Amino acid sequence: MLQTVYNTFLVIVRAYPMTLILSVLPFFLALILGFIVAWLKMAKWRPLRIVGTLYVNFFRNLPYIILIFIIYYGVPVWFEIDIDKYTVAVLSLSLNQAAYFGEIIRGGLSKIQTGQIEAGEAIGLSRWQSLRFIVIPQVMYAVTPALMGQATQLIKSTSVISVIGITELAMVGRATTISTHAPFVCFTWVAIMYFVVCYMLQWLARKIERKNLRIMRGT
Amino acid sequence: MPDFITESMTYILFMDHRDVFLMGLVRSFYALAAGMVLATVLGLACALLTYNDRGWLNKIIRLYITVIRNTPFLVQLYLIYFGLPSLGVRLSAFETGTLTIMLNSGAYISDIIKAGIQAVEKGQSEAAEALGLSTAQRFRLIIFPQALPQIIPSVMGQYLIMFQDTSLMAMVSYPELTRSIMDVGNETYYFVEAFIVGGVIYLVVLNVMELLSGLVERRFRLKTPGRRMA
Repeated sequence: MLQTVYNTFLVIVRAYPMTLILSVLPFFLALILGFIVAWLKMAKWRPLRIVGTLYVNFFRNLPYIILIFIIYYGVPVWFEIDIDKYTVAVLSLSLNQAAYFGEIIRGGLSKIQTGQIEAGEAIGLSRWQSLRFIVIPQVMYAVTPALMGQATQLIKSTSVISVIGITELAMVGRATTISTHAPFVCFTWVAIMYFVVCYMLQWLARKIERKNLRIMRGT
Repeated sequence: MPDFITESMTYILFMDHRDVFLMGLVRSFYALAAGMVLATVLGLACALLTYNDRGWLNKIIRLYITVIRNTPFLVQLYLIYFGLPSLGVRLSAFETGTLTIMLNSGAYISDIIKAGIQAVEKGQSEAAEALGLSTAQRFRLIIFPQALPQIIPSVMGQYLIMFQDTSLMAMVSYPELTRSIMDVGNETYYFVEAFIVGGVIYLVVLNVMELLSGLVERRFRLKTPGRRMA
């Protein structure tokens, strides 16, 4: 029995890097897209705001598994290019999570007083400089804990990628149960591995949140 | 309806197989309804049980919630669907899926309820104590009614997430909407069209659910008189 536990661990842990890589890339892409979405939703021109709202509504209300399949089967047909599973995974995850990231960033941005950019200009900074040195640091500090929480959700969503055959943790777990007939052991290992990553992110988020509170209090 | 829609493969596929899609949607709702009831009950129970610090019970429930929050729904589903039989328990796909939804959303709902309870000012609780109300009366008459406006929108949000989770039950062969879509796709090889139909159905249903939830919120805000006292 102990031998099975050890062996399954060795097999399953090899999929760990895949899950992590497939989380990191979409995280940064979704972050960039999220900024764009937040900017869209806060634009002065109404059509831009509508586009932003439609984007968020669409990608939040479409189950991720459906989105993956639409991109996986649809892109080769519509754009007549061959697309590999990994690109499908990264693309779909980025699009999906960007909707959530966008809302979080928008929430952070809306809390910043509008006068900050003008105040920066008053002391001689350009519009871009006051954005870069005054607004964005504040937004990042305010937004990071919520972003880490959403990153946890992102990592958990990578498990759905298994449906198009990528060898990440959930898929490997399912495959190993077929050969070892010890499903409980296999999936417990998978769960533990997800748990470790997510829990560390959560702990990091809490640390940053506490540091934020201390900074705002001035200690 | 314009021709480019009625003559598109997507529409034709939808009309040809609409009974399959409909049955799938009904089964999704069936799982959702069961999940909503069970998860809410479980969440409420966990929140109430951890209201006062009871040592080991609190620790166990906290552990359960932490595990659920840090593992993916799909993995929880696999663990229960594939793992339970090896422990001797044999359940149907519907029962395992609903059980997973109950455990998963129950944990989130429990945290939502607890957060709502914390949000009620401490002064209310202390004032109630000063008036001589017991803990149970305090909770039932003062704290919980004031926590509800906070709790209900978030819980309804969790219901929406729950409906999206039912789409993952397709991976354990429960013939709900996503599974029906996959089956139609496998049968006709028109995968893109099938998933577009599914996507549209999910979008419509979830948007309707969002609208309903907004209606409930608005109705509810008119129903809380207590806020105007202070």
